[in-house]
Amino acid sequence: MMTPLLSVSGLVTEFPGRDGAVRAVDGVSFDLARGRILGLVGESGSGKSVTGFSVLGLVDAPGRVVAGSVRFDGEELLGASPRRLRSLRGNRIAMVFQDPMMTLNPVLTVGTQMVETVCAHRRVSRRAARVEARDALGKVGIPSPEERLDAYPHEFSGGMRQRVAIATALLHAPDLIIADEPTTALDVTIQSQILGEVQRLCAETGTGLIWISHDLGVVAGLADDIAVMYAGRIVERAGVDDVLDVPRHPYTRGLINAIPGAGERGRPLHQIRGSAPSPTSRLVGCAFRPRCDRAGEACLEEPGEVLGPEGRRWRCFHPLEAGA
Amino acid sequence: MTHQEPAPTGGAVLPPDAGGEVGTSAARGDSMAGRIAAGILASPKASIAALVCVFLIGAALGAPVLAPQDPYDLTAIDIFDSRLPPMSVGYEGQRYVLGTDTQGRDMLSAMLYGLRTSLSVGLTAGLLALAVGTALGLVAAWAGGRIDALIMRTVDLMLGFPTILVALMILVVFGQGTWKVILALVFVQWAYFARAVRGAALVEIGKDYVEAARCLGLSSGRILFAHLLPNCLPPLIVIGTIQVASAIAAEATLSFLGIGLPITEPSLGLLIANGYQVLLAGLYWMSVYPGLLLLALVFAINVVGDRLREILNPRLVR
Amino acid sequence: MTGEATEVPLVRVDGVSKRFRRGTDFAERLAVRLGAAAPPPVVHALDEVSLEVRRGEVVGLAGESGCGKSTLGRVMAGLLAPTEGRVSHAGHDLASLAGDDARRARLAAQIVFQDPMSSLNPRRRVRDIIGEAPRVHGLVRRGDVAPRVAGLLETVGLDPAMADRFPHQFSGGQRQRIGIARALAVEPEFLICDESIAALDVSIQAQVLNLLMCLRTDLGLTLLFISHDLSVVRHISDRVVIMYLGRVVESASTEDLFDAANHPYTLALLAQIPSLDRRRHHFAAIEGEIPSPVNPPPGCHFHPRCPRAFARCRTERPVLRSIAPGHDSACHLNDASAEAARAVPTSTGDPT
Repeated sequence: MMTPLLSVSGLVTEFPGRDGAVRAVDGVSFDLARGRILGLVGESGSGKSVTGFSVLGLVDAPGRVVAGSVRFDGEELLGASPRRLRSLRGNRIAMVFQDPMMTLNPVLTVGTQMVETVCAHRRVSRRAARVEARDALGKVGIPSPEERLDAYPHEFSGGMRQRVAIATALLHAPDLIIADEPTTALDVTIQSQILGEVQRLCAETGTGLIWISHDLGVVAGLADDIAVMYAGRIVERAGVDDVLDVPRHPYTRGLINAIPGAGERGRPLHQIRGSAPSPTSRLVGCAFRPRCDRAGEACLEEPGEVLGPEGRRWRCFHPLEAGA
Repeated sequence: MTHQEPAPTGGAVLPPDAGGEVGTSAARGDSMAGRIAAGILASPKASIAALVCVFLIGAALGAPVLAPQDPYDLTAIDIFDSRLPPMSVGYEGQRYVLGTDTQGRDMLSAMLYGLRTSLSVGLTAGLLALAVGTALGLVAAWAGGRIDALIMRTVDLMLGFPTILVALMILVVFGQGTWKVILALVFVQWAYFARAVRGAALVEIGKDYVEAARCLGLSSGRILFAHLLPNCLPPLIVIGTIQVASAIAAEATLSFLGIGLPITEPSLGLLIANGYQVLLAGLYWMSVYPGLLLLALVFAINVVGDRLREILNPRLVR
Repeated sequence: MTGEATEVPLVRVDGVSKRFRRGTDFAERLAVRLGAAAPPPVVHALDEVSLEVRRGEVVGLAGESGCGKSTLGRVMAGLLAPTEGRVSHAGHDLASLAGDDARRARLAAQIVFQDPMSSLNPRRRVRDIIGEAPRVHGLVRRGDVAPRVAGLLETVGLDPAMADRFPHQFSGGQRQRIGIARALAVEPEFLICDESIAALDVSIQAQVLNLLMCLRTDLGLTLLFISHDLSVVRHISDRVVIMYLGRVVESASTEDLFDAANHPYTLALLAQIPSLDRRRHHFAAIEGEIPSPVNPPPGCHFHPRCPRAFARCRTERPVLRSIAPGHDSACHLNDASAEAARAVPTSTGDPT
């Protein structure tokens, strides 16, 4: 069996808080094989974004990763030297953020930034780098790329800026891209354009992709596997068909039912009562307990990860019936 | 790679909040007064400065009680005791801790009363300027268009001239007097408040709760003063503090130049001016001690004001 | 327009256009006059929009950025005066109302805003936020304000004991509920939900959406539900209106729109809705960017991106016409096939 491209195990990230350390990520484990797309789904406060940052070592101090292991192509990233991480970032692992202005410097032209990126990792002449940048812009569907290289980020529309960010991420043909809600702020038609581009590029280059989102619909269409996060933990992890057709965790079922389109028009939607706990006030035991219809005595203990058939996993003492 | 470090944690320590349950730690200590107190106590420099301010204000308030001698009481002053150095004993056996001036007045008493005058003029001018500037700033932000342009161009004009120069010109034209000095200072300082409040108000006007207030049919006056003003307080507090210090210093300058307060109400500036004439003769205490007191006052207020600016920084405030 | 309803619609806009121009000061106007500066750009937010909302119905207003749906919502509420056209409530032209009538009309239409963080005054307690307007307008006596506020909090599913708290002590979903309570406090007839659930988590969206549907039934409210999310619009609306760049392009009952959409833009939008049933879907979107409302394309606004555009689309603006009972669409293709339909009597005239 081939080594997975990315193997995260027991990842814990903490932030110091007024009443002690707050665990934004509380024991997350997943694997990503080469060329596969994983959808990391969760609502706000679930820790999905912080998971993405933790993998790349981008967690701002005073927050830090306190436990676990992140193996990229067999190499341990946690505890790696900043220099090694820098050489990997942008080169073999790239990240795309929700706000493209997190990647793009507003006072430099797009061309300057992309050339800088190329030259940071490879010994290429600036002219050759510029050609590469131009090709990358063309690949993501930006018209007249040669002229657009000399434009500033603010001269692009939101969707175009995100494409530039994606093009920048692709410059070194990374093995892994981590995308944190990159299309959430965009219109539906533009979102579809970008999803189409990303899909095509991943298929062409065999890049692994982790797509972090709160939108199950997008993830359904894009991903091969889905991991559902709640309160800092992955509560369910399986192939996309398994998760959406036969969810085992009540939260997953609740999320699916809460989406309009699942139920009849005009009928009340199934709602999950209450709201997600904030990272500062996590409960003992299963974090979903106050909102779960199936909670019982056992749920006062924290559920461990159960390994089901065909590699699917869930964390629940009272999982939904297989076939429910 | 121009990967700017992502700022999902912003200036706060936690990742984006899920919205929190009711009663989380966000509820604690969130009143502005509470935050200010906590913030000042957290900084040793600001704590000391705040103590100094409190001490000086207390001294000024208690001047009639604390001063060994009433410097305005002509019967208490003895010309024979004039120009005595600090810690000397006077004609009737009283000890002058900080010496006496050319008229025989006890320096300590004169300084206490001078502090009282300086502070009251500075505070009055500051508060009046705050009131005028805030009102005009709010009106400018709300009305927009020509009124906004008119007010803001006036503000630009006022801020373009040096403070002392304008105050000088006003006092030369209208003559001396305590209230004239205060009004001159107000005339110069309102512009700072107006500009700051207009900026803060414009930000707030863009927010949905103001639009909701309009939708609910609330009157403009109510929206301005009951909704907008409370949310524009942070810059007001900071600028107010620093402007009070500025007013005190400006009044001292004017008095030093002889066109400020009348001699019957000596402020620290006037004391410095009086002592200045004999400074080169070696009688340093008449000028230097009031000068140090003025310095301490203005400096302490400015340090507190700076700390307030950090505490009330909107980027760090949820 | 259908012309079927015999009763006066609750809210109606006729030929409403709204243009925004940045205010210029004297120096800038002078510069423009002398030719030294270009006049500031004009944003064409709304372009001859006509729409009516009947009492008791839920109209979903959908479209992407720049389509003008938020602007239209505010014009219908009376918050923004149209540059052209008229807005009427229950048959009365808003512009002609004054005094008490104007005040009543203003209170009859309330908005629930999008951003739970900025839609509540952070310095006021919840009971003041909700209770201020009814008190000021004399809808309740001073002594009755507290019970009224408590009742409203219960109606929106919050604990009345929380009336003393400040907004920051509530979660996003709870803040939206407070916003709804504030709107309900003045007893409106018409509630405009301007992307009211867009900023909430999915599980909370379901809660607030259910609340809105309950309120509609219990209080007999008329709703205008503005959203970019078509699946939510489909769920809650009786009728759906699609807008693009300041114009209404299609309007129909929910079933007709989703099952038998006519306008190419509507069809493209419907194709993009992510659905849980589409796995490993090949995303193929329509090309092109949404044009800026400062510089809309001539003729039909959608023609640069439309897969079926032809010569007439580039020059002539399509008129919103009825193509079936209760179903309006603004597309030249309908005219073409209508002509074809006239030539061939058996054709149904369905252009798709």
